[in-house]
Amino acid sequence: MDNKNELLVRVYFVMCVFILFAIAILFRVIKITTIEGDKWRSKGDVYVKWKETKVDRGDIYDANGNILATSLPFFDIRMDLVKPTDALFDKNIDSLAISLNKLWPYSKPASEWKSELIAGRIAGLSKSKKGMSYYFIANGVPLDELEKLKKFPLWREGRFSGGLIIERRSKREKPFREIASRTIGTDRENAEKIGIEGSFDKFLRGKTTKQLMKRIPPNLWVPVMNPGEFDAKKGDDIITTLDIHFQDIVHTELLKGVIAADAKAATAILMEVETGAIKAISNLEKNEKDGTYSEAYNYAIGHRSEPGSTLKLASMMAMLEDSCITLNTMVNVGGGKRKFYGRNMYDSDMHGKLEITLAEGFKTSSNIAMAAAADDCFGSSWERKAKFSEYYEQFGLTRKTDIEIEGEKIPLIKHPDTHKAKHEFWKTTVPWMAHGYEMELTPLQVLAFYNAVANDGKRMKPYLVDQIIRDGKVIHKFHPKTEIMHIASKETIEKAQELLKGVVQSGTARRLKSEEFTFAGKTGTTRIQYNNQIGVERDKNEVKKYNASFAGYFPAENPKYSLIVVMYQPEGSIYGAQVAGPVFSKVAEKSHSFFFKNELAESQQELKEFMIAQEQSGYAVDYDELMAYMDVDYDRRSNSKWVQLSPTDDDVLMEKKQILKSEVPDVRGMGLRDATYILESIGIKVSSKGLGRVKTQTIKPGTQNVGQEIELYLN
Amino acid sequence: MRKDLTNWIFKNMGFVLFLSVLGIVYIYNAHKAEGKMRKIQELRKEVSDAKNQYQQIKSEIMYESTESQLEKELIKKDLKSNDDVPVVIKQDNS
Repeated sequence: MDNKNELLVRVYFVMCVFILFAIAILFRVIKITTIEGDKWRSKGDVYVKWKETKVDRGDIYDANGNILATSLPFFDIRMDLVKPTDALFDKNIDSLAISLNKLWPYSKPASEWKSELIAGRIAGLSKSKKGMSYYFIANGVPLDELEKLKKFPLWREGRFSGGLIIERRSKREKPFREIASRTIGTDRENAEKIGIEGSFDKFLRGKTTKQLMKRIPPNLWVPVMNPGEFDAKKGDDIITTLDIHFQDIVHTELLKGVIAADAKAATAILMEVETGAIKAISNLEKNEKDGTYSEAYNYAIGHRSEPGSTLKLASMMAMLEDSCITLNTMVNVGGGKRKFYGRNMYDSDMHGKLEITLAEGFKTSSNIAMAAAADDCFGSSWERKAKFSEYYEQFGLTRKTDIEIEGEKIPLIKHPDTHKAKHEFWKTTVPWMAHGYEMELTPLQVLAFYNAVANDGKRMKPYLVDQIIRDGKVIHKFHPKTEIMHIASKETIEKAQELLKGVVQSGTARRLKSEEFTFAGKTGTTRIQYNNQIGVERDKNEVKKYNASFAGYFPAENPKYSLIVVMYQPEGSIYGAQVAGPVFSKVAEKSHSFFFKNELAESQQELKEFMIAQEQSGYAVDYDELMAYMDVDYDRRSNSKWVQLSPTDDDVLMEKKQILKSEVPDVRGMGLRDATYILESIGIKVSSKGLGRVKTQTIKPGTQNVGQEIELYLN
Repeated sequence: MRKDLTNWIFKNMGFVLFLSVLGIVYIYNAHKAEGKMRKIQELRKEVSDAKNQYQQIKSEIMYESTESQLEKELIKKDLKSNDDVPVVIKQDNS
């Protein structure tokens, strides 16, 4: 029994010790996690933390790779006036003040810099004033100036003895400043992003990921899981359709025009006819305080107003499409004034003519001619009125352009179904719609319509963004989109084009005509802010306000570009032909010569030089085609399938390239496709690195072919 | 029992030494790697600063070299842009 008891006692003792031990551990665990938890966790944070990776915002480019918007670092400069020792401070303060004045000559004279810095230091040392260890020097200093600052006397001693404090921040920069700035958009803190910056923010911003990071002293954070990848990531780049050259022309000419016209605002859009790609877009608004103009609001896209005479093209086309008239139909224009359902309508002047042809009416931009003809055609019944509105729908004028930028409104085009009930489709609606009133459109919507006419009836969707690039690869390519194949019959389109040519040849825009280049278009002078409802009489004393516009395309034959220019509320001359027209013709003229100089000559020449300068080889048929396209003379010495090109002094020599099955061929200078084809057809496995043409190959040419694996490096 | 342990350690001394060397190599390696990362970061900052500076200068040049800016500058030197449309010379094939 004794033995057994003793054994039990021992067992219990051991067990108690175990239990106590366990309790002790448990207590410790609880203590660490709850009572001391915050302390330990904060300690851990210093070394390991869940951190969001910082992503640099992507850039915005124009069609030729010029940067339209990018993030550049800027620096806020402060100085710790208390930190430097007396000896150091006294020795350097004079030269520091001089250096500061030299860097920023317009800031303060050197003596002022000196006295202020000394006063600040004394105040800081005696603690009579706060903030002297964080004394303001400058904000938003660019990198090149910072480099100079760092080398200034006293500051070059480093932060701890010199007291220079640098704070880095990133700011969005537009190298071309005002040019297209509203369309490119803005990205500021605490403000809504606008323009392309806003619409494509999701891409530009890039993806931030939260990762467990550990700190490597002094201040480098690397991911715990794969320490190699601590690259700074970048958001996607956006390549727009804008072209800085055109953009510069449009901006400069519009600015000249708007200053001359003293208008409240102006906008111009240049679009490529075939694709609908927007090449340039400018918006200028007068600053009421100082009379200067700047990009303040995107009128081109966001401002809906009555288009006036430029939309006579639509009513004309509706009538032609309906075949209710011909261009030679005579209309009664009443000498320049005629009553429609009790309301007077006037032409731009009392010309005194009683009857003119419709074609003449269009050319001279007679309001009455268009109104009278349209009223005869479509005014007779609700069905006919509906038909009239439906033509506008057929032309695509009732739809949004769905441009990438926010803020576009749906066009306002009246239709009996929607406006009759609201008592907004009056008897006067058809005649007034016929000359571009009682409807509202944005400049871009008008231009899209003109572009379709220029493009032989094919309506393209206007677009601003061409590509999205991620890590050097195109992840999204936006192709031109056809919205309506034929907005009207071929005959109607041809007549419309003739009419627009006529306006420039002998109509309201005849003074803008040039011998050297051709364009077609329509002037517009629009009375704004007046009520033409029946029964509301005009106030004789009211100041009349107008918008002047010109919409069209150039060259008149085989148009390349369509363009609209709108001037809002010009002072002095108000006519489209005098205010907006000159801007149009100037842009057309400059674009014209640029277009011919560049697109034709340059691309061919560049390609030619590139081809001739390089030694290369490849598939003969491809080269024959290429040389023919570039119009390069070459000396073909062989009929072989594979050829070697070598440049000589005045032309290119094309020789046979020997490919043997038994040995590894020389594929240097070939494109990857050709090289892979040749090698794999003789049983060699290919892997490749890089882009371009083959620069080196891992197996020497001439080595016996035993089905090896080869690696190609491209440049 | 203790003797056994000592014996065992002595018998495997080679392996123990190998383990310690491995440990030292490991620590050295880790430090070296950290050093490299620091160096990479430094260089990367240098590269990005240089890149930014390049970007800034390039932007400046791009702006200055637009036609309108050139025109403005050249007018001070009494040079004006030619407003004439370029003449196209065609070869007469007949």
